[in-house]
Amino acid sequence: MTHPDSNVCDEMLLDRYLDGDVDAGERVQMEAHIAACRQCRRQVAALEAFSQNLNDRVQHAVDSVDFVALEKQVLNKALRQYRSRGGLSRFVASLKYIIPATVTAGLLLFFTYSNYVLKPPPVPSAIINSFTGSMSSVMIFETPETRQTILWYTEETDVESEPNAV
Amino acid sequence: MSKTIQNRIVYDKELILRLQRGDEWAFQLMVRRFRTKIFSIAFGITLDTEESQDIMQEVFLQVYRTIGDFRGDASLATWLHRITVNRSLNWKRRWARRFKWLHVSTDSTDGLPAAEPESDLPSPEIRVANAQTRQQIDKALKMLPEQARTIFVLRELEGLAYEEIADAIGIKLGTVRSRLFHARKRLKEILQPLVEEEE
Repeated sequence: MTHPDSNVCDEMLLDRYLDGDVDAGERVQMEAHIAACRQCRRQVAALEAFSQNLNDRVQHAVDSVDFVALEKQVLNKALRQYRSRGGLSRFVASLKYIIPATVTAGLLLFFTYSNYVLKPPPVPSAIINSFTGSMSSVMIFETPETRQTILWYTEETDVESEPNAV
Repeated sequence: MSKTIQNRIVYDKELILRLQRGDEWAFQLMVRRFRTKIFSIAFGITLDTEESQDIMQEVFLQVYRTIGDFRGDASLATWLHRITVNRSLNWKRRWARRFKWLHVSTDSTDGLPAAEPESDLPSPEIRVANAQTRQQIDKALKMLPEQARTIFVLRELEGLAYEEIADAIGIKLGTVRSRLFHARKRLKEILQPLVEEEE
């Protein structure tokens, strides 16, 4: 926005002038105003000096940095990232085989354990006592967990009374 | 469009393609080409040398990680500016919560210079004056609102066009003009006592 009277301070135009965002007519007008206006001249000088000092300030910081070492660090980190990403993707790809295999193995283990380890066949643990006679014999057992007593009675067959016996 | 700009676009496209293919050499080339620019922007916003180095590394590593998602809507430089600005502003917010922003650094690069053995350096008086100027600039920049300072830094340090600043920050062109105007207005107020002191 141009101001027709070059003797009046126009902050917006001054800002655009500082930014180089003015046409030729505005430039001439602004230069004439700055030459005549002490306040605007001081403002332009202060901002231009600040801009220059800011650039020097950053350049000073840039000069204090070892960019070669930083570049090496960045490259090493990127390479590590690439390798770990490669390792991770391989691991993720292998999951489609690992998961079913683990599930199958788990199920097999579960059935084996529950059928053969946790529940042993209900056999008597020990013969507590036994009696053997000429006609029959008796054995007394006890079950391991429920501690029930089993009487095993066996009648002997008379070999002599059964002639067909072998 | 000038031939230089056309060449730059072709060069950028080739560089991006190579980066997307995981070309280590292309990555090194990009780091070398943009390292000073990225550091300067980060430093302009954070005013902290060490943090700016960390931000610079983070920016390149983020580019390396996400280059596959880069669709080419903006130029490579604009994309890098955007990441740098976001990272720098996030850094400042993070540290503002921890009151570091108000802390006066004792680092010789920020404060008064430490004694240095080289004889070809400026005299102690000049070095003290330079250090004071640096402190005044830091103080003035810190007094600017965050967004205004960011735009001012991109304009003054990198010489970015309004459109490029708008793309990098993700705001409208009119907002860039307005914030830049207010940044300069605020700076004039801040610098006023210094100008009067000198006269």
